[in-house]
Amino acid sequence: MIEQGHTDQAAALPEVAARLSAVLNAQLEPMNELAGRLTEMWARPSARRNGFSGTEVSSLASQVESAIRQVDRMVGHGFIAAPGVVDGHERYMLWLQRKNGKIYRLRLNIDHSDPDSYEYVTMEWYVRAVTYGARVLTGPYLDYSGSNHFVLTFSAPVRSDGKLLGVVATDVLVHKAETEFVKILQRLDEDAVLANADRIVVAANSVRWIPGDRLPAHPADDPANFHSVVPLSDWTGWWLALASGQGDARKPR
Amino acid sequence: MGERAALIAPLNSGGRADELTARLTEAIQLGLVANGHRLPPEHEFAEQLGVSPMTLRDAIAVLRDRGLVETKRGRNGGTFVTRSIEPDETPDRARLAGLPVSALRDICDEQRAITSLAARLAAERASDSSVTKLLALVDRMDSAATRGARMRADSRFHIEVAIATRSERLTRREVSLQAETVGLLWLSELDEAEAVAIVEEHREIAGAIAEQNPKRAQAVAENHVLQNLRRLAGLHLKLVEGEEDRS
Repeated sequence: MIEQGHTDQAAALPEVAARLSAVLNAQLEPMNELAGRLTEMWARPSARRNGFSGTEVSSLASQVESAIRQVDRMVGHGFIAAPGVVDGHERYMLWLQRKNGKIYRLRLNIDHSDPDSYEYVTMEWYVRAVTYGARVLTGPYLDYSGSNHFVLTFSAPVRSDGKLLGVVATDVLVHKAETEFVKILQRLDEDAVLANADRIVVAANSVRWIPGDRLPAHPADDPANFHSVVPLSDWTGWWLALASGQGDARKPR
Repeated sequence: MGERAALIAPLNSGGRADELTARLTEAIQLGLVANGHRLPPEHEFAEQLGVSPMTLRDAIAVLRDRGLVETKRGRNGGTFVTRSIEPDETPDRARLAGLPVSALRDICDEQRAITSLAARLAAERASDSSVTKLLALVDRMDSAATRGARMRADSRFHIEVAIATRSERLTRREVSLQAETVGLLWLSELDEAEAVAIVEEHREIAGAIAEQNPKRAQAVAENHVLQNLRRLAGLHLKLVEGEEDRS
């Protein structure tokens, strides 16, 4: 997608919201593909009988790697198995991540008998995906114990005939995503802010808001400061709002 | 650690040995890498971490001194993680004895800047899930019975506060400060009453963050650092006094 920066004809709010949603929705495609392969594999008689083998799941590594390679903002991607789904492994993850231009398989300490292990079944992106039973967006947050990046995590449960196989997920670098979001927000003439369900600012086209800050109230409950607010795709919990009147700090033109 | 290189690389691959040392120490102490894990060959590991082989060699030497890795020779040789759930306090005791109070004050000056600002920003920005984690870490510290468990609960709490700010730089500095100081504080010479007080101070910090009260979070965090300075100085004086007795 080629962005033209600031054009004479300002874009309308719904159009900009749709573009932002499209960026987030596109991120689900490799996850759907990976989930599709996993459910296919689960249909094999051997898997039905004994669960996945580690080798079977690992055979998807090249697919995961090429998905990361294709999208610059993607820093990690993979499958995290529900306990007991991979034969002989109480916990199992196929997670690849980009570091210094190369892609490596991440192997965390997932020995769940160790109280300090990376216990992914308690992680927000895992719990939320399983509890809601659908795709969810978590962050921006610093993933210190996992990937060690400042990320957005997209995650979704993988099920076969109601049985939970695990979660497919993708990490996107916040800094790269912000740069893309700002370009889209700059199509608007008015001061606009993009924020998540926790009211944390993700990006803005104005210095009125700094990414990482928490807005004091949801724009819908704050007519003094915002005149319009539109949600992005429902599953994201994100929304885009336009400021009322002139801010004390206008964006540079 | 091989594939784990990405995890333990400094957030900013500036290549400074002390930063790398802190991050590796923390990764091992917090259990992010399993005991007995074999590090990849030097040139490969350095490439994964984005540092020069020289920098890596310096960092590994420090880890070896701290007893966190050991190098074995021969066909099945290599450098292995030797993480113990209950780290030996002898090296920490020797290090604290060698740190005059003025040096401790210097460390704590930096910690005041980092820790209290992190608490303030966490009160402004923390997500609900971060708050839940912080409160759970206070309880975990309260029920921690051993030195190792207390060290991990203590440093995890402070790192979690920094993580809640979403500032990579503050988090990097907090990780580095924790790796440097947490072992010095939790020596067997520390009074049990102080251990109880530390839990209460953590509870105050977490409470102020949960209440979204930035000024209070900053003030109680700063007080906590000052109390820790007093504790560290007290332990140092006790240790050097003991030395004289023996001579």
